[in-house]
Amino acid sequence: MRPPFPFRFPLLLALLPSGRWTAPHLPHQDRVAQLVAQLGESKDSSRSYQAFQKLFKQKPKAALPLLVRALPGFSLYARSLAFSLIGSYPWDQAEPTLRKLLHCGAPAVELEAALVLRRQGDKSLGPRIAEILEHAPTSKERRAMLLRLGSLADPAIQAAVRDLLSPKLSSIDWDAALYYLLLSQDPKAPRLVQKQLADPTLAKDSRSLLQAFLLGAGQSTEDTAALVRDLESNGNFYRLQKFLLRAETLPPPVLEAALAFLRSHPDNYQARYAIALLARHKHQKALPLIRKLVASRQPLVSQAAFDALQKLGGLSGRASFYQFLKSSDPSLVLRAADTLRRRDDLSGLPKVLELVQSKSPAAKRLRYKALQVLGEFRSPRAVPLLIQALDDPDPSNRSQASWALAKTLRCIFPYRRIDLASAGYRPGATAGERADAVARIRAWWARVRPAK
Amino acid sequence: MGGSWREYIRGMRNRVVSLALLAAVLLSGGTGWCQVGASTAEKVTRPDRGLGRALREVLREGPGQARTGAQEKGEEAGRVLMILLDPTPALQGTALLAKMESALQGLGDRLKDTRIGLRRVGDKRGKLLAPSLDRKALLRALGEAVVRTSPGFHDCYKELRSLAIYLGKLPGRREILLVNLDNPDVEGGLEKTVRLLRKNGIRLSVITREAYISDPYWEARSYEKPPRGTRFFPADGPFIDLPWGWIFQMSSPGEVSPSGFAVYGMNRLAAATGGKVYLFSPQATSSHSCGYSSSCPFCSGDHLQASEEFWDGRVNQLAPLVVSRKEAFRLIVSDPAYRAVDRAWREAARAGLIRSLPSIQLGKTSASPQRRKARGWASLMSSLNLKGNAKKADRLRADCTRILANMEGMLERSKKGRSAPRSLAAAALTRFELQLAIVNLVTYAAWCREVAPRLLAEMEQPPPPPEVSWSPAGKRPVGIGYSNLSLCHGVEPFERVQLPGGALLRKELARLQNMRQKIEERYGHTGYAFGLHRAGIAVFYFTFPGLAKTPRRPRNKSKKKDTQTAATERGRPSRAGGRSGGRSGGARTGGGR
Repeated sequence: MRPPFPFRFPLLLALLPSGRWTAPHLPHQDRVAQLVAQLGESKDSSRSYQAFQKLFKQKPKAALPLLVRALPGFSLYARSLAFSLIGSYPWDQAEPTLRKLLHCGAPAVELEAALVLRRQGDKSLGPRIAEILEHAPTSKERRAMLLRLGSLADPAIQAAVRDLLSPKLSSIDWDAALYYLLLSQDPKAPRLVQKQLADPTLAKDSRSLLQAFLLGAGQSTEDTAALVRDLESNGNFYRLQKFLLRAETLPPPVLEAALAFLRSHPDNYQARYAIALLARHKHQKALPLIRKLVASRQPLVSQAAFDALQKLGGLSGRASFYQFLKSSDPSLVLRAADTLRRRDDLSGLPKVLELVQSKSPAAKRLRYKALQVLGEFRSPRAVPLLIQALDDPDPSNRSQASWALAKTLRCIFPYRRIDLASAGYRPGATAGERADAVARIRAWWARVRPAK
Repeated sequence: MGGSWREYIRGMRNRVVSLALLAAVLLSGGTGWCQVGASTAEKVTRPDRGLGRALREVLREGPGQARTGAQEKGEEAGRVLMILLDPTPALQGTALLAKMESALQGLGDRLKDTRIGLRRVGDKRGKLLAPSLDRKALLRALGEAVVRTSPGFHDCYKELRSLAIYLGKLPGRREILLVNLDNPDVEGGLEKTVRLLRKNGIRLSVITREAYISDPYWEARSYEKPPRGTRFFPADGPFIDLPWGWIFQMSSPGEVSPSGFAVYGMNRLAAATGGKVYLFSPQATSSHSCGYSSSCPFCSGDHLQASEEFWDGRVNQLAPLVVSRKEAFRLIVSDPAYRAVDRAWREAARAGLIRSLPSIQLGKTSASPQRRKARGWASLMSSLNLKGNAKKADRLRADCTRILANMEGMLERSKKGRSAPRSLAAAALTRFELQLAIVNLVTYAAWCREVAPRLLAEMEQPPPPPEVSWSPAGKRPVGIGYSNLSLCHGVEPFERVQLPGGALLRKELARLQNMRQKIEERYGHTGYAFGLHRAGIAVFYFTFPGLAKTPRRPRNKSKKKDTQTAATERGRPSRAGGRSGGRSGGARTGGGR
């Protein structure tokens, strides 16, 4: 009897496992391999991104098996790019790749692949995700995994996260687990959290988190003492605000605690969270203090106070904004002009143009912000100044100007596709290259600019 | 002879009576039948003040309502309240259980004669918690019902009818509270349900979401099938009175304009039984976005659109009717503004400017549902013959101008005070859409003549930097597509935008701006302003064959019946600052998931 076909050629059979004869590398495959390797480079994120863009455009099939092999060794950033890339392939190619990644041995990668498949509707992967979470090697990795879950509402995952809850958990772990349960709207979590709150061994900072969670989940809780204490003394808004902002209503003591913190620490970086919380819950008592904080030295606090004033109705009509436009503080002028622009009133544009051109030290410090605001006006009047700012000595101002210019030109010319790089412009280019590119862009603008 | 005289007199009397009746009918056709002053949803709607407050008001019997005879009979036997819970996922995160518990505790002794029961939509027949004074049992049952959510469409009307029969046998003042957050647009046997509820002396209150004005969502997706014995009807009024499906528009005004009122079916049930409709929308649905399925060229999503906060006085003027459909059809025929809309709608459909027909066919004394389907849009983009397309666009623009002029003439000729404010709003928005179609046709014809040839030439000779060619290397265009630049910021900012069309476009844009301003003044701070803001000026582009291959769709057949889920219920825009505006914060009909 003759042996079956492949066994008739022992030499061919011997060569098969090496892959050298079965899959010889073509030149373009080598290029793909280089790009995949570049994508995983942990030292230079911009090179990773360049590789991602090229692979995203070409979508070579050969990249997928290479990614399966290389992905477990990628950094967090490169991993997220790689998953975006796989997700952009047609589903009949992406799905087998993701299924292979489910068994790659790296828990974080397996979780990510399972999440993509679960979100595509594969409900059988809920228990698998729960299993990965349970067997996470360290609590740090588990926290990172919990953050990746988003608002995915799967009973198996929710049960696994609920199982993690115990009084011994550190407050950071409580934070991650409770936030997932809140986002996924787990109906069983509030009752469990209430039970945990009754445990006397629970740490103080964790207790305030649990109380914030209950408020965020719409539960009425009488005991807010720990939360109030935490807000008054430590602030801790960074961790608590995401729960409290979701609450439909907050008990008065909690709002008073936020106000007390704001009174005692007006320049603390957390003051902006307190302001946002008070504005979200329309606590009118905070209005006089917030009005004062508009002139805060901390730009983020001042910005938050300005936004809060609008929500609380502290700025009656446009007259208040026109007053701010006359202010000697350039940051206030910018904010007022920007807010008026958001309300379809472009009367702040001349002031912003003036600020961008100004040589005063205060205006120079705010040039980045001024260019950003100017870009939002999408006005042809801003274009010459933005082109000029492309050659600014400060590199961050140059990138802001190029971003603002691109936005403005896209708005003015819906039927022209504009890419500053095609004129040789890069914010990081040498002064000579930049000057040439800016001259080209200026000449182009002189040709196409709309008639007045 | 005497007999013949008697017959003659009898015959004359009959004739006189008939003539008098006819005269009465004809004369009353003037103002008496017009929908001005007819019963609207304003009286039954309670704006969104949170779930807890809605529950407290229902349990406390709410503000005074008219009692029917059957209800008065049962005064002495106390009160029976049955909660009918539609267990859709939207219930999650609303803390219904906690709020019910707190409402029961807060009202305490005031509920000592109130027996409360619970029925969960979709449970087996006969499975319910019978009305009792045992609050712990109620809360236990509610807790279990809330946890077991079930996505998909549920026919609450069928459940209401069986509950009405069940409650009819019990003594006491009978009430039903329907909690229906995701499925109000599944309507089945509305008038039958009304009759049964009335017959058994039951007052129905509803906690539900806000609807969109004249929502054509399911009309535009007629391939979706509702559960057996039901129909999809997500609009706030008894019929769709706002034209939808305009040419070169990514969305229809009715699909994006929150109404401030619930779906018609819910309004009708509550109004007919003396109940109330409590609007409630779960959190995180209130945010402004300038365009729906379109981009905004003038902001980065930070626009503060002041006229989208509802003003109750204005919104109430535009409230939809809550009378039966039969009655509403009878009322609408004598509304001159709606007649003008109907005529313009039909003419626009004939010309190919709109892909829908009015949902009702107007007769002389009443109306009937429309059975015919529209032909669809005129074929302006089906070929790459640019010159031909431009000519077609010019012809269509002439048609559109004529239709707009006819409509304006009809509206001017109509007597003041005979049109309902809602019909006038629909007419204003229809005029605006017609003018917008003119603008888009002008710019499309100019695109075909000026821009498209330039773009094609750029394939051979790339433009000077910093411009780059639109076309991917080596690809030939296969068609024409369009998208919208939102009008949320108004028409004036488009003066900065380089659109093709020259002086003619500028003239038509000025007319559009004039109309927009008038509508903003009159209908700002109501749902009708949303339709205005989400409309858009079209921009056109060539389409190219895609890079990726689409895999073949697996043709698995569903084994279950009536388990469709909504295609898009989250994508549609809701209102910014809804709560602070005193109304519900975010309409969401279009099915339950």
